[in-house]
Parts: sequence; structure tokens; C-alpha cells
Amino acid sequence: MMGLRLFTILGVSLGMTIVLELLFAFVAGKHDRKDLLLVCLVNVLTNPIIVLAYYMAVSYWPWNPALIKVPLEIMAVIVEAYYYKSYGRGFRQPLLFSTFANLFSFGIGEIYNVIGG
Amino acid sequence: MKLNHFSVLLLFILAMLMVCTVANSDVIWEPNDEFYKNKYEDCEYIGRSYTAKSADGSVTVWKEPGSRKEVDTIKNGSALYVSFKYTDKSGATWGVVQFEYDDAGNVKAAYTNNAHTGWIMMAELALVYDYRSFNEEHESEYQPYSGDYKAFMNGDEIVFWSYPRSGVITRTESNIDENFSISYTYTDSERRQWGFISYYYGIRNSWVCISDPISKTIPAIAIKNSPAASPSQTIPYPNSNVMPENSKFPVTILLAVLVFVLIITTVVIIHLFWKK
Repeated sequence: MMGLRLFTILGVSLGMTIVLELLFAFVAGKHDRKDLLLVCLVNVLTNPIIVLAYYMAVSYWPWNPALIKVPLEIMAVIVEAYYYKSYGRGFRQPLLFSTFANLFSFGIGEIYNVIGG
Repeated sequence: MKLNHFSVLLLFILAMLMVCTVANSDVIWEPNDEFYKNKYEDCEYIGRSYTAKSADGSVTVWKEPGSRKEVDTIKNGSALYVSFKYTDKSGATWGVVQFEYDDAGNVKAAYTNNAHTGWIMMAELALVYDYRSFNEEHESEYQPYSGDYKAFMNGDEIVFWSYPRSGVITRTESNIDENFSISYTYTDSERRQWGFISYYYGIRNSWVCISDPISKTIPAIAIKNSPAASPSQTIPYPNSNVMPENSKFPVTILLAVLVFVLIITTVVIIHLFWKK
């Protein structure tokens, strides 16, 4: 069933993104518990709607999926950066952190897709 | 301009909703016909193929329902696509057709702005057996699909059929990805399992043979007990702007509502517990 598949995709995508961005944040020196929790919540905020919008768009538009992914990812980076800046404790360069955290999770996600996940 | 976090969130949600809305605004294809434009509120969508079948040997295409102005006559057996129907005051039902002629002078459905349009009495048309006719006949036999999609994703050219054992291939596609989804299955009398695809990158309302997805030679069977015309006359639907019959819209709306609730809850939590 399409609905169940999409629901699973949303769940897996969110879970993977949170794990990867938490890992990135930890490696990047963010050890404050509240900051790490903020990383999780900010991804809850952006990831499901991005994934849903992406799947809706590729289902109805015969465009190259990359053309849809890029602007969506840019929007996610901007929103996440805003929240890190507004609510984070140790985010001195929120836009840079958001950009690299998203590049990291996006890159790993693409590799996962290529190897047949 | 300084934006507060609610403005940023609102802009973000609006941008995402725009993507969803535009993606779903895949409206029903409409004919470029004057009468239809004036009376579209009284017209009812059909979107099916028919063949001309009149006792006179040909059907007349009229400028508009009840009009005396003739657009053309089309000989019996010609395939036509009726997008909308209109019922006049006397109770007669008319279908709007849009067509042009091929090099041999045969009528073919056309979806361009300079094609001929006109109205034909539905009583002079015979429905072409299609996936909807198949649904009406076999819906009670459908089963959910429980398999995986690996057999479709190995790069082989997958064959899409108008309906199981129609003998009519609608398209072939080699690049099958995770958007490929089988809505339900049907098993024919020769134990072949088929899967219905409501939409996949422009392919709408087609079937794949799960038991043999690459075969192009699955023989057609004759349609029994059906008033519909031969399936060999199935004509293509407009390439774009026809809402798929089994649209994913309600499911995606439900998911969108869930996601929206999730976002609002998260924003409230962040706002309450991460105040600076």
C-alpha cells in the first residue's frame, strides 16, 4: 500500500537523519544535552515535511528528482539554522553547522540509497 | 526585517504546502470547446474511450448538444476519447470529443488547441473495454500485494498493460525506483499474478504482470459478457493533466495532517523548553 510505504519511508528517513545529525553534532563538539535534543527536535520539524513534499513532487512531476531535492534541502538548512541560532546554547555558527550537518546526513542517505537500501 | 520563529516556521510550512498543492493540482484534462467552456458546471467528467457505433454507419459530430451545425461525420469503428458528458433538457446525453485526422484520413484523439471539437450523442458510442471495465468485473477478486519490489528494480524493461491479458501494452519502463507501488493484485485463470499501478511517472492506471514483468507476449483473451467494444481499439489518454483514478491524494492529505500536527507540537515544545 502506497500510504503504508510512504509512512515507513517518513519514519526511516527521520530516524536515520536524527541519528546521523546527532553523530555529526557530537563529533562537532556539541556535547550539551539540551543542544543535542534540539538537534533531534529541529529535524522532527523539517525532515518529515521535506520528505513528504519530495515524494509528492516526484510522484506528480516528471522532473529530475535532484531539481526537487536541492531547494527542499536548502530550505531545511535555513530553518534549522534559524532554530539553532534562536534556541541553541553552543551554536556559534548555526548556518555553517546546519549546512554541514545536512550535507552529512544527505550524503550518507544518498549512499544508502545507491547501495540498495 | 527581523523575523520571529513563528514567521520562519510559517514561511517554511507555506513553501512546503505550495509544493504539495502544486503537485496535486494535476487537474482533469479539459477540451478546448466553446460549449464546454460556457457550460462546464453542467458537464460531468467521463475520461474514457469509445468507438463510433451508429445504426447509420457513421456518427455525426455537432457543434454543440442539440445544435444543427455539423462539425463532421465519423465512420463506425473509429476510436474517440470522450472527456465530459452533458445531459440536455430532453434527457439526451452528449459526449464532447476532440480529434484530428492522421495521414490516412482516420480519426484519432487529439489534445491540442487546434484539434476539432464537437458533441456526439452517447447513444451512438460503444464503450471501449478498459481498466475501469476490468475493475467493475473483477474488483471482488483483488488482493493486497505482499511481495517486495526487487524484481522490478533490476533494470529490466518492465511492461505496463492496459489491464490483465488485454494484449495492449501502454508503456515500458526500465528505471523503476521506490515510487513504484502496486495498489492491489489480481490472479488470472492461468495463475499469473498482476499488479495495478495507479500512478508512476506519467503512467496512469496500468497493470504489470508480477509473474512475468518483462514479457511482451502475454496473449489477450476475448472479453465475455461485456457491452464494451474490443480492447484493441483503446486509445491513449491525454499525456498530462488527467487525475489518476485511484489518486494518492487522500493518503497524502492524511500524512500531511500528521506531519503538520508533529511540526506544531515540536515548535511548541521548543518554544516552551528552549526559551533563552
